Amino acid sequence: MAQQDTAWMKSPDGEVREVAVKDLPPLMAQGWHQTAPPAETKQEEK
Amino acid sequence: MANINELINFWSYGKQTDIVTPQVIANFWRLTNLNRKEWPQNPVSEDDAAEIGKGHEFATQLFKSHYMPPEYEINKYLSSEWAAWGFSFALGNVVKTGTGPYTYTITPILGATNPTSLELPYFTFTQQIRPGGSAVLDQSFVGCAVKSLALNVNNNPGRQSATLRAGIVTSGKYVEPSGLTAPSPTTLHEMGAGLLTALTINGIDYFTSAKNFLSLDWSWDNNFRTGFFPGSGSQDGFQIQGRIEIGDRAHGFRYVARFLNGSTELTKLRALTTGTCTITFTLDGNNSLSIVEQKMGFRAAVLDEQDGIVTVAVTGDPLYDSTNGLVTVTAVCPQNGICQ
Repeated sequence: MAQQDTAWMKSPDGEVREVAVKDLPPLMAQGWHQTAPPAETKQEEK
Repeated sequence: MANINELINFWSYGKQTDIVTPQVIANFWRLTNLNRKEWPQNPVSEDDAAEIGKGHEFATQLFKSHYMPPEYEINKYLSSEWAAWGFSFALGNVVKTGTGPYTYTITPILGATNPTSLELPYFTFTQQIRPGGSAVLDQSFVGCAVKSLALNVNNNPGRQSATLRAGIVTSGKYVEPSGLTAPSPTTLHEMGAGLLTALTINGIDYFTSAKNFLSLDWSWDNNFRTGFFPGSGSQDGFQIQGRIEIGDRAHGFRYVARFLNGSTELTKLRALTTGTCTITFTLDGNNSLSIVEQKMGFRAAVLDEQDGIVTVAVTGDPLYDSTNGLVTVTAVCPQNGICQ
């Protein structure tokens, strides 16, 4: 089954980028939180 | 009169937007509880017994103070869905990925970077006995949080070989009657001790090579600060809490294993050796739980016996790794929307 194995994350400084699940732990330990994808990404999906 | 077996609980798997706004019924699930008791509301009142002027020492009047429901236990056998919920609401920083099954990557919140600062996600809890015109009990508690979490794994077969117990608290705000209709029971995917697929603690592989593991107790306590403050709110004239904030959190890790020639627990204790710790339950590709302690040392290792076999009881010391943090929990399950 195809899986979306990435998440859009936002850093404490406001940086937003797509992160693979395997790379989440160190970022989350630094205070990154899941966020909505950027508007331009939603446009591309359309 | 009503039979306690008529008590049903359902609570939100989705988080509230804030402490005072209940979740909608669409984001509730109905699960069972090994705790067979209702959650008492516990209104606290005061009297005037200590006041001079009455002419005697006895109280003459009661005064409303505050709602202080005690910590309530939801005790369930370990399942992928229940683990995702318990760890999400207890630790607080949750990333959901996937389109079914869903992967929940969970770490403890940091007050400095958490969007809600020191507050964990809130949920709504409902208890009912014969809801309707002749209800015995029908209450929703708004603004609930997970105070404590305890995972126990032991070497006796059966469902009880792996249990996850959540201690929950609430702001005191409630809705009665709840106005909610209980959803259909949710089918969970239980994972007992036999489904452990990885068990490595500080470099000791208890799963593949050293098949000597007996029991594990993983614990978490958020040590909440009291949330009463000027303006925190009131209901029925009783003050309610306006926030539930983490205090100095406590994380415990204890386990018991057989002790034999070549066991390295005492060696590692004396050397203050640290290493990662991985505990993984796998039912199938859609249901699993993985707990990774990023830097585990040993605080104590005490020799004992169990059923006549020499054992070592180890008290682990979970440390905060500068790169990967304290602990990362990854839960995979078919349930969408947990703590979202």
